[in-house]
Amino acid sequence: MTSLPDRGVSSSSSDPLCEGNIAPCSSSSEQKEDCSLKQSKTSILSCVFNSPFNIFEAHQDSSANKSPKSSSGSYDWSRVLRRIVCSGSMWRFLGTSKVLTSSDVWFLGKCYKLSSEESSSDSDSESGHATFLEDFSSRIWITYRRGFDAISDSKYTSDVNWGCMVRSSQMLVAQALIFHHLGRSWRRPLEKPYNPEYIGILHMFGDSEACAFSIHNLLQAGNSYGLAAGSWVGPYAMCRAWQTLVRTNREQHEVVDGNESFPMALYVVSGDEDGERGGAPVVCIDVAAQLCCDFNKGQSTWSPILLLVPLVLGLDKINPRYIPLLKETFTFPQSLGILGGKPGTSTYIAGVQDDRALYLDPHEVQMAVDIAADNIEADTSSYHCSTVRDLALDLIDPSLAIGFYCRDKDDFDDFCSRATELVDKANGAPLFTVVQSVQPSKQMYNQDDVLGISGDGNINVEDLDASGETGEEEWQIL
Amino acid sequence: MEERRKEKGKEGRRGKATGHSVDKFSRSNLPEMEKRKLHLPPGTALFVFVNNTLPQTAQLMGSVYESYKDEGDGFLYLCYSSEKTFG
Repeated sequence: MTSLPDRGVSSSSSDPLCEGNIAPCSSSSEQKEDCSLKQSKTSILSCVFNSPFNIFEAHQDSSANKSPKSSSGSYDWSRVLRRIVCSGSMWRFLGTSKVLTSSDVWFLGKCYKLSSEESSSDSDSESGHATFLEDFSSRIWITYRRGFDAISDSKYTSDVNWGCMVRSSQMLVAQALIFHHLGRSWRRPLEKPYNPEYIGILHMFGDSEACAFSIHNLLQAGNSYGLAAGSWVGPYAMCRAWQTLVRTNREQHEVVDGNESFPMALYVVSGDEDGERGGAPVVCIDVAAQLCCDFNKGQSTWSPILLLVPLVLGLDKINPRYIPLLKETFTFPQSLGILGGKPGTSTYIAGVQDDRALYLDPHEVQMAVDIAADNIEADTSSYHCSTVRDLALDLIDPSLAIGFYCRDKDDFDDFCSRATELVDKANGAPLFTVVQSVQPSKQMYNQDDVLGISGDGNINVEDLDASGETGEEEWQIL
Repeated sequence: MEERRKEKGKEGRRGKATGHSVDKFSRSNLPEMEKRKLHLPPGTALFVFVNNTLPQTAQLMGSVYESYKDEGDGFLYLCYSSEKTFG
């Protein structure tokens, strides 16, 4: 990958790259599909299309009308496309593009019904689009940044070209915090002052060691899982890094001021550290209860809980049988979306429509900004994006992680029953399963009666002559 | 007939049983794999595939074998994979 200049970044430290823009990516995403692997990960195409198509004219910050600096002469073809976009009805264009069709959108547990393009003048249809876009652009968008304090001992003052998994995970956890403090129906206010909770959340994701969930602190916490400045990372390691960071913060805060920095239990649904069975992960209700109990410092009451489920859903590419199951997780009210994307390119997938994932892209380069914890007048525009990007679900890399937020015991029970229903639909290959308690591993040796197992009559008992071997010798690596 | 119970992996990380495993473990859950034996450092992900899907952890080896043994050679093929990275 070549390192491109930070195209699309203005000198402003709070460049509203996507503010108020919508879905010129309808064509950019198609382009990206074809050449994304050859392109820099800084998504230059998407920057090219970040000219201000104002859908929410009335809602605009004036800053959104600045011309982007990315429309350089070398991308003249894009102006042609832009003219096409501008000349027609935006809704019609969207309706015939693949970014948003007339099909229902499932977005973080909420369904948006979008009517067909014929009814572009229909107020219901428009409100379907508009309410979806308002929801989409209220999500916290966290991207590559440059110009922050160097990460620990490294010389890195930017995470361009390596930080996308960290950024994607920050987006998912930020949504969990938004849901927790402000609820699923919260929308970014059009006017300042903002909610103190909202500003407080953004502050935690600032790019410095002083911010609880900064890239600096995540890399440090994830050190033993291979996280390091400049290195790529997978979703499993990322989830473990969060687990470590949350635990560390909790211990520190208990010592310092007794406050919780992370207001919920965190459950990384995976096996043990060293020995794992490696099959579909198992959500264990007793483990979740114990984590809630620990969070409440021993009181046996339930607490809010964040579940992260890291998965690998195929060897070279995603096994297509998992795609309907992945889609269905977005219908759960507890849905926090997915960390993942095309191979090498992690995004925050927050919704689905038809066979396409709708995501927030961290591969834009913005200047680091410092949002003080109490500055309710802060400019937060660089933390929101109205550009809906999409990719075909069957192109996503098999390595990903799914997130869920359960507010209380009832919500957790609802999650468990939905997850169990999904197991039943999985035809023997679920994404993950739910059990009440951890079963001690069954390691029964069949010294006598292998034929007792139903359906295994073909197994030859006569070969059972190695009962003296230890389990370790039974499983050799070729 | 011994060979049919071998387990074999691909995708860089291969696993095999020294015969008899499915008989001996047919009432067992999926075997617990030690990462060091797969040359995976601690802290890395481990996922096991049978027929390109993640087997359910509670499934018994006997039923996994019966469902997914290779019809041609009688092997049960297991594949081990860690995770990809992103940047």
